[in-house]
Amino acid sequence: MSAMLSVQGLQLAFGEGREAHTVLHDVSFEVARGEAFGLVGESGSGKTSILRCLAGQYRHWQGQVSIDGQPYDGARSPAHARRAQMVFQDPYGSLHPRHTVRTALAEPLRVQGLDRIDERIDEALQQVGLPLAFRFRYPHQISGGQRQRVAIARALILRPPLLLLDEPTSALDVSVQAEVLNLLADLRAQHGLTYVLVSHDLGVVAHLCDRLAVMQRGRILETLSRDALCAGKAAHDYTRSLVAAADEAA
Amino acid sequence: MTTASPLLQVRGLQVAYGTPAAPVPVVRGVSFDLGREKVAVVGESGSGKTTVGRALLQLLPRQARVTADLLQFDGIDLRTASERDMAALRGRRMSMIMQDPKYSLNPVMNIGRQIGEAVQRGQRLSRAECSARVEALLQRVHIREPARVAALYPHEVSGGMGQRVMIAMMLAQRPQLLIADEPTSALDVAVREEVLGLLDELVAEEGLALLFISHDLNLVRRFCDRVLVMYAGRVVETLAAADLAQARHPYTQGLMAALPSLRHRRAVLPVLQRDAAWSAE
Repeated sequence: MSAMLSVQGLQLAFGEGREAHTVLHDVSFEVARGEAFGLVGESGSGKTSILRCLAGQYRHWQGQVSIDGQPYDGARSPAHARRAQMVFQDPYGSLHPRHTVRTALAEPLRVQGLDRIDERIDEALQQVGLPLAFRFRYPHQISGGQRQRVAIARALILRPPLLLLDEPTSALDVSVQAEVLNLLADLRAQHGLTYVLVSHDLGVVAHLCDRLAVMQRGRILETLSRDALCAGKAAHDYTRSLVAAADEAA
Repeated sequence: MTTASPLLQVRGLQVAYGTPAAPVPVVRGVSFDLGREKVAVVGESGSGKTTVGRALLQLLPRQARVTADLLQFDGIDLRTASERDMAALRGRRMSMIMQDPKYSLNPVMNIGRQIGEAVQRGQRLSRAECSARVEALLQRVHIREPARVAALYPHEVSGGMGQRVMIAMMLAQRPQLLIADEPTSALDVAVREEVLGLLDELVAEEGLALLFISHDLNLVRRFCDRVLVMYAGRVVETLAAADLAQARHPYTQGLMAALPSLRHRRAVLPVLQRDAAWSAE
């Protein structure tokens, strides 16, 4: 069976000629169907840039990417939107302040020319555990955790097999983070979704992901399984320092 | 200074917004003592932890009504202190650093001049003396090339360096109390460790009292001496940082349990079940 996501030799630079600044150097990884894959590293290491390339926000990268068996060239198309969707860190910034939940959820359906809009919205709200009456609310009328649920519902409403999650719980309190992490785990189990999760929190990545890549300065230092990580079998000193910093909890 | 009483004493601190007829309380009777130690205030967003820190420095907006049974800093009654008294205390003897240095530093003034302003407060130094003092301060916060960094503007330095600049600015005076509001939340792991190490050193060497406001239980457990756990404007539990895992209050226990951990993997994270009694007590 082919991988859900295959990234080979991904290269991304900003600026031109001598001013060019390369932020991703030859990044390669594969994510199997139904797998959850984590990307960890400090800010500026390039983890979010990878997601932005995959989501079509950056188009000027080089390399071979295929999603769900289809080669992907960086364009944003209705077909791509049905294959991969992204959830952002800040639920305050990612929802339009003057659009109700219903408007936000209806937009991708309308763009795709789909029918049964209200029915699909009800379904999406149920999936993420929000009351149906929330469709009439504006973002400022709901809490941060509820907003992130709306953002997840919006990402899922086109039923894409691949979700790109960029620090989805970093802006949330630990108690709310636990709820959203449980929701993401349930949704993946129910619908066989594939995740690529970016987080600076090793605990979050280890909780949700089967495998992860550790990034530094635009390169993947190592790719390892969660079990290897938790068993202290990381090969790189940098990874071990991340584990040490996260392990105080134990 | 009386040797017996702690540097800061807070009893029954209340902060409310709204009208006197329809008050909206945000801090409801907070009491604690702070000596030369590292005390953390933890809690979720909206629990009132930042408001407590700002109330101590009287930095809340005018419509906030602050009352307390006792609010004493080094023998000075802060309840009756005038704005002029506070201006003399703030920055000189009580200081604050915030989460993001990008918003705390003046973007159009270089770092040397900003620290210089803090140095010149209260004393007149020649330009050469002032810049020597600025460089000494930058060195104190472990910045390797102080002369070069002094000439930089805030957008030219990293978050960790910006936070060290804020600490250098605070050290320009000799404060006894530092209120740090999420000082490392915007920083990466490695940089976070450097800033924490620096704060630790200052508490030990300069005898600072540190009130460390944070939402990060793991960090607080490792870094602080004592922890005040706030919920809905109250301190629900005060305990030694080392005892956080043995917390008695169900709220603290719930917060600890909700943390994903590398060592103890669980299929489902326990979700905090809030009890109305916690805010009613």
